[in-house]
Amino acid sequence: MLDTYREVVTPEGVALHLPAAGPVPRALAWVIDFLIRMAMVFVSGIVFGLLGRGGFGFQAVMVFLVYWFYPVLFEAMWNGRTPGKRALGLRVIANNGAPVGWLAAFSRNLLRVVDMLPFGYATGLVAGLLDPWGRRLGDMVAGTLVVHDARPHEPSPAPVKHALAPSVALRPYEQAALVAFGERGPHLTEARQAELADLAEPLTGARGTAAVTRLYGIANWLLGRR
Amino acid sequence: MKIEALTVALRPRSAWEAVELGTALTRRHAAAIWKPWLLLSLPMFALVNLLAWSFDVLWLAGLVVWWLKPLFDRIPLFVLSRAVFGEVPTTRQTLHAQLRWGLRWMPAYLTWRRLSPVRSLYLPVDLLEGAQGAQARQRRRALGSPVHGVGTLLTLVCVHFELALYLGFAGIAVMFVPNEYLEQFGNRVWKLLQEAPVWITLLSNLLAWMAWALISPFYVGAGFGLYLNRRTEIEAWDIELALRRMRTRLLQAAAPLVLLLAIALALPARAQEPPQPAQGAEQSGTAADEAEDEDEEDDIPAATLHDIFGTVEDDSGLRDGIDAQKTQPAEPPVETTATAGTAGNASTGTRTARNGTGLADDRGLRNAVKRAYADPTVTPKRKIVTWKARAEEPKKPPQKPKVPPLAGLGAFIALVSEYGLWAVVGVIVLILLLTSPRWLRWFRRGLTRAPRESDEVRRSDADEPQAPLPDDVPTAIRRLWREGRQREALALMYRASVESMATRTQAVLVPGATEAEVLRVSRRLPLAEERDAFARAVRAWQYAAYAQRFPGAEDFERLLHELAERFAWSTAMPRGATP
Repeated sequence: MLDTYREVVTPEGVALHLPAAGPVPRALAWVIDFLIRMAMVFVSGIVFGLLGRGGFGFQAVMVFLVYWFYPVLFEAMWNGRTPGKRALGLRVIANNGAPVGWLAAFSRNLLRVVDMLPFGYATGLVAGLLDPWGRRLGDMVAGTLVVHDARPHEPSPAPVKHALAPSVALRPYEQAALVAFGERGPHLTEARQAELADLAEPLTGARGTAAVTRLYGIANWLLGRR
Repeated sequence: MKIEALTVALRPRSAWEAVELGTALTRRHAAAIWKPWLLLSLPMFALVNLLAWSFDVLWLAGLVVWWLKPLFDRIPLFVLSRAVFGEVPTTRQTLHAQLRWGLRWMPAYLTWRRLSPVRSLYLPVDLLEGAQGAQARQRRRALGSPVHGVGTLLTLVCVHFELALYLGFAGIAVMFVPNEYLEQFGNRVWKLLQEAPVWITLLSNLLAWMAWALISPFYVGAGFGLYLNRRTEIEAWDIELALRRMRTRLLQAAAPLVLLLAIALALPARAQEPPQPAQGAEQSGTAADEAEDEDEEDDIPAATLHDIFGTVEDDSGLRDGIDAQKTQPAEPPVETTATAGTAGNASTGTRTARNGTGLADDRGLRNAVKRAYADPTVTPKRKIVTWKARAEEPKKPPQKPKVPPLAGLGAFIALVSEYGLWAVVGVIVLILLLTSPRWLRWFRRGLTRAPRESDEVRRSDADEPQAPLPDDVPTAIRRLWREGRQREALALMYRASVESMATRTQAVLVPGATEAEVLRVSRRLPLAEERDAFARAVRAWQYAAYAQRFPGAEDFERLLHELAERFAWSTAMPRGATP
């Protein structure tokens, strides 16, 4: 089955799914960061401009810092997220799912110089398109990965009140599917709900609306709503 | 098409993750996509450029090739829509399908939809579902509206990707120019670009085409990923898959039982079901679809995979393509470019003249031109008188008032920081010198680094061999307890109990046996009271070890007393390996 995450198995045998992010959202995040950086340079330019020639040095230092350290600082100190990445729901982590450290943040951002070659991040773009996990060269060297940060969603309210114990023992994937049905079912059309519930006829022993209600009941039971 | 044959893991994803899924699909089926893409696109590129060249409007060729992209976007879409269901089409199949598949939509996509920002999103809706008119519009709205923004951004980003690649390819040449020649090189390139000779236009077209060749399939794939995700969202494909699997499992498991029930209750309808579960499901599915189709007012349209992919497969042109092998392949690009070329030719007649064919015998013409220019009415001479100041006034006033307000402060700070920085450098150098005896050693040690110590890994104190049990166990335990080392007291009690239990049952415990394993072994103890006491000792230890909850002094004393009695601890213990 084709999927978009990188699977990392921890020493405890837990499979972590790291949903890798590709070039498109990353490019957008970069644009946002770029605009912020421009604004920073612009504002500091005004402030230091008041100091006359003496301000040039400070401005040069400022440009240097913004150019090289803006992403490093944000990634290392703000949980792997620059403002742009945060806006796009992205996060930089280490290859193995650990938080990104100072060293990795430094190396991946210093290697932007390579990824920018020959013009406009063309190298990084090609690397990102060809790599299964959308990494540019800097990521490969630093051993980092940009992932989509799952945003927690509110548990949806139960569509029916009662809970119903399933008549047979269900396997984990089946339980997951029934719970998903309980959560997402109300967003489907009624005909589609009935169509899906009809598939579970051996479990519910009913068809149509009755089957839908029973499936919701089973979902409630599986979720511990009694 | 059957949903059971899906080769991608479906789950509700965010729109951006759907984009990743689409690009991952493109990556996986790269060979199936790019082979036919190149086979069709390369001749088209050559032909368009040749035509444009012959009409001397070469710059137009790039535009035409770019404009015709939707024609080729059908290729990745065709491959992906089939590959998702496990049938990766061969190059031949794909090529044949291009003769018919989706051509109905091409007029729209080559004209007013060409610049649509959500082209990649609507392409699968139109081409795969084959709906018409109002239904198609409704379908596009239902599927596209929640991800309209993402689709637009996707297009925008991909356009910039193409631009970046185009400039990147062009920039490779600059990379190999040594710095000292850079200015000279830049001047020459600038002159070349202004002159725009044929080869440089051709090269530019080629670079642009290469950029499109790389990005375009990913773009279409990403749109297809968005489409798939939307269908998963509004039709819950992933749930359907899992429910189908559950149905098959339950029916297989229940078949004998159902048969019995059927015989007992005389329910013949039920007995027929198990052998053909899939068919039954499908029938019910299509029935539901038809019911839904009639319900026009539904916001989310009715179509589901079976009727949609089913009908599409019917007119997909696979079979037609194979039948049509003998017919001449149509060449849509040719016609379009030809018309475009002739149209452009009329407007740029002057360039034709300069380039050559009309200049065979032009001496007379040139003489005539010379004579014409000699005529004073053509280039009249005029005298213009103006006043000019004798001494040019030096112009400086506007500079003066622009001195920034805090210039004095700035100069002061600059002075201070200049010397301050030098001071900092001096201090750093001094510190380095003073501490050199310390850090120089690191380098020396680094150079002559001793080989690593043995690879033995010591994970925790648990690996340490444990001290043998004391002779008088209860006294030792009580002493530990009195000293306030309750945890160690309970640990010793646990160890002693386990050892006694092991000797008594003559069981061999594996090293590092868990509490549960020990308890399981302890069932072999002959007396119920012994088993009970042992279990309580284990429980007390577990509470202490994992929950930091210690028994009260009396409880502890009672337990210890009972254990000592049951296992006869006051005498010397037999020595052996602790578990």
